[in-house]
Amino acid sequence: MEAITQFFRDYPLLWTFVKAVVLASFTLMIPLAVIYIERKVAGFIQSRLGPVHVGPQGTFQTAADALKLLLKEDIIPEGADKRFFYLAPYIAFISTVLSFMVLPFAPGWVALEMNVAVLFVIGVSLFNVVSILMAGWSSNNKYSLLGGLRAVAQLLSYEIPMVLSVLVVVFYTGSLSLTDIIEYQVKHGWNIWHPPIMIAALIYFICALAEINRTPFDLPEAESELVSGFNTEYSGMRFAFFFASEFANNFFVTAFAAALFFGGWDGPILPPIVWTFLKVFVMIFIFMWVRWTPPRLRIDQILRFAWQFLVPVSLVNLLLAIALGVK
Amino acid sequence: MSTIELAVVVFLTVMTVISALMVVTVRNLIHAGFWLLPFFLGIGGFYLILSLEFLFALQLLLYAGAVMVVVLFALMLTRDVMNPRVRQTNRLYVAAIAASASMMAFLIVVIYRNMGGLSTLPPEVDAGSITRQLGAMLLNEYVLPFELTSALLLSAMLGAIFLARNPKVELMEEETANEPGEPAATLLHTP
Repeated sequence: MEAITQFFRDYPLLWTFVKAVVLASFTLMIPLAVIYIERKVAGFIQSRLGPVHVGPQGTFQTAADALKLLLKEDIIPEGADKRFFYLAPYIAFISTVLSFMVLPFAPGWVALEMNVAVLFVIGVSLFNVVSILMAGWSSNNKYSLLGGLRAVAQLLSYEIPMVLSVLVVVFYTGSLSLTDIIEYQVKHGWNIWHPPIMIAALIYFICALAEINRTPFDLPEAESELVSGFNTEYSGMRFAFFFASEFANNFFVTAFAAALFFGGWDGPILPPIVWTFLKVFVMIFIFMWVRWTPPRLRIDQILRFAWQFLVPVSLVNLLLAIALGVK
Repeated sequence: MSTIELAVVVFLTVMTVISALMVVTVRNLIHAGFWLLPFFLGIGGFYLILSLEFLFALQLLLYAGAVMVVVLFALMLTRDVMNPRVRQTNRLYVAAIAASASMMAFLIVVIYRNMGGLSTLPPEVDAGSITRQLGAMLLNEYVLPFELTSALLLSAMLGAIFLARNPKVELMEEETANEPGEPAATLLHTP
């Protein structure tokens, strides 16, 4: 063990490479778990079984689906803008891997310690918007384009209250580094117990649902109206990348929320890494619960809700946080 | 500066220059919009090399994220923008060249005059204190230019809205407004 540590200390570039590979594989593997849980939860809520045949309790179903997608033909529609069509899924996936890069899983378990991690995450998440727009436009399909345009309008609108609610946490803890924010909570108790942060967490929860395109905010891929929205024309590997990045993002927004509001790895008895995953999966379960309960909204309702309700409320909340004594 | 750092600087320079050239020369305007992404990332990379992580994150958030998406969104809502036969320049290109050239000359003069200060920049700077200094300077010493910039951006936005208003739409609205029970007229609520 000591020899291995020493070896990587001698070759920092190799160590960076190893970390990048581990992170990228993690981002590819985590959707397998999330999708399996999603199917089981959906089955439970709709009084059916979900996957049961492949493996014990259907655990290998998602892996089998992923394998199928890898082997399927890669179809590029006639008249598509080929280069952009090729590129879009990878940009979506890279944006997800980049946001995992600054996420602390446990003390010291972070690929890149960045002192502006919060800003970096928000900036990188906008690449996802770019990739959706790219996919929607380059497919040369009116449903894809409509899905892309809807996605951009929706994601940009919900980005603003999200940033404002994250800012409340930054004001309280006085740091933009995720590790510092979690360590502050280990010392002073979880952020969620402050009233302004409670409101901020609620706003963040709504915006996070919108950011990862979950029902009731799944307008960009509304199946009953737009076929499958921006990814209609994608098949095989490229579709798998879009799908993987969407579910990995699902994991990420909850892990980000755990770090900001619920003390990250903080918790008694169990090791820190277990606490992180426990908090994340409880929140993912709540996301799925919401997803399979209310119906989809209309695009104008969604945008009006963001601009006329969430933005004013989060601005007032920010003022409240400043008034209630921030350092 | 080590070999790796030099390689990164060369890579970033080539990426930034090539993508900047592509933005202004590509015939398809949507492609030009997407070429903005590597350009903004290249500029962000330079901030990262100077260990200005805060500016790097802002560059990602504001330019590579928000500005680019808004530009693309506006392009996609514009009619006939993907037609490669549409001229890319209009009658104002002489004025545009003159404005860019004067801006370039101004920047070269400013950079040349401050060349002495640049070499004394410490290689390792504390990002937190730099951010704090930047915030304090923007809101104390340089508050007037800061506010003037925001006024300038606001006037540019108002100008864009004024130019984008289509007088024909208003005319159509007046014509249809006379017919009772026409929902289309109420949808276009232009003042």
